[in-house]
Amino acid sequence: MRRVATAFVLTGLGLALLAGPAFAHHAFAGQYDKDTPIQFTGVVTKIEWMNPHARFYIDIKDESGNVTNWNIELGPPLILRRAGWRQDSLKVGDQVTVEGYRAKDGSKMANGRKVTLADGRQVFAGSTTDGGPTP
Amino acid sequence: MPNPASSIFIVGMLSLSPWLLAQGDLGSIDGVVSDPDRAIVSGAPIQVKNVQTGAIYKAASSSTGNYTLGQLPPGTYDLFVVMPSFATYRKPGVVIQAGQKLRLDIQLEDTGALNTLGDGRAFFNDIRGVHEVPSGPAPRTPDGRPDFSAVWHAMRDADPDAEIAAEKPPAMPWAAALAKKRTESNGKDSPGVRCLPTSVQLMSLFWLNKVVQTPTLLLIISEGAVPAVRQIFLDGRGHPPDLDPTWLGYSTGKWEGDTLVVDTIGFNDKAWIAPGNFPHTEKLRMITRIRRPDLGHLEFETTYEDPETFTKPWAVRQVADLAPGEEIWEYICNENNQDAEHMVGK
Repeated sequence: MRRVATAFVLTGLGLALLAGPAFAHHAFAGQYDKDTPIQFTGVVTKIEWMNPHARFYIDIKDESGNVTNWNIELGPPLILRRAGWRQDSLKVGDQVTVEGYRAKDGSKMANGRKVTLADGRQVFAGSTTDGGPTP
Repeated sequence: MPNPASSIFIVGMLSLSPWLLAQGDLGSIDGVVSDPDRAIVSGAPIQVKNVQTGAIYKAASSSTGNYTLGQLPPGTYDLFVVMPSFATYRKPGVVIQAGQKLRLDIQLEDTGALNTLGDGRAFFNDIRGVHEVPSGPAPRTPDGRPDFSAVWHAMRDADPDAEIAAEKPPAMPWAAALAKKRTESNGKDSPGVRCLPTSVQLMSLFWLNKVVQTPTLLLIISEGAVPAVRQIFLDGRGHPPDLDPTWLGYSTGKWEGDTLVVDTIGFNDKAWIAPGNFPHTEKLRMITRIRRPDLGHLEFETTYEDPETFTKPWAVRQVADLAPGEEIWEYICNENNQDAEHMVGK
């Protein structure tokens, strides 16, 4: 096998250097608008602990009493699992406050950046190396 | 975490006499580093590169987020903050006059993952940061070869200073234009969005990888990749002469001393080249030289040769850290993929 004539025009290239979007499956920035933050409180109606992204759905009631179901997207289950979370860390019927960014296409979807239970506990936060769920 | 602001280094070029200036002529930059939510970021590595001399100066933000780059000769500087958990911050053309004390507060931005739970800053720090690894020599197989078998973290840049030392990849104009378009649209059209193979390199840049080495076959199992398994034939065979083009090509490997040289051809033109989101053609040949210099590291030097995409071979150096105690898990991407139809892009 020939040894390629290596032109080291670039050593140890960084993704960010080339401004490549950093994504495993997809870049959330392609789907959600960081200029449109949302924060709302609702009741969990369904949990999908599935690939490529875990999701849960919440019913939000507006001032007129109209209920809208929102789809909240998280990272992959196996990453959340490494951080100590399980598919029952959030349960149907839980009241949660969700902070995230709204979908660019106007869908009733948002990414989840902070999820707080009624008693103040946060779910799905923390890293894979900090030993488990953040109190 | 790097040592706080105490760490100010001058990396080379000090012998350039014009810059041996009186103390009063030197300038400085200081400020506070914060995240998109305006919370303090400690341990952020701030680097400036003098455009005229190439000299690099470094500092790190303290526990209060403050940083100081002192002792700067007057000149023009490009400033960078490179952290795996944030998008790279760059501010080119910062001019320092003699004796000037410049205040420059830095607000970092999130990566394209927008700090989503389970795919956020902590995740990127874990997966692409530098890990503490056990020390010792690389293990060897009974036949005396280095044994690459282990679970490894995702590949990361081999050189932490690469971001500021790098030049542009030698892409032809069409390839550079397409890569730019892909990047600006946040990877909207990446095959990975549809649970197809994302990029052609041997090991994942975002997931754990398990390497299983036998005398005749090397398997790389990448958690989260599609497909999860990469075969590299070590039994002396050559490439079949009548390959149908495939997403990830056909890989054969041969030992050169302690380095395994993997030669991959037979690609279709559908997957991307991950650094920079570059395209490639069916003429792509990817040569990957793999070494295990010690127990804790696996080094990759990947050279992309594609005469229809690049004007000359393009080499990328990456390293993976050992992930002791980790195991990889199942990931069936198409299980519930709702994203493709909602990817707007820019």
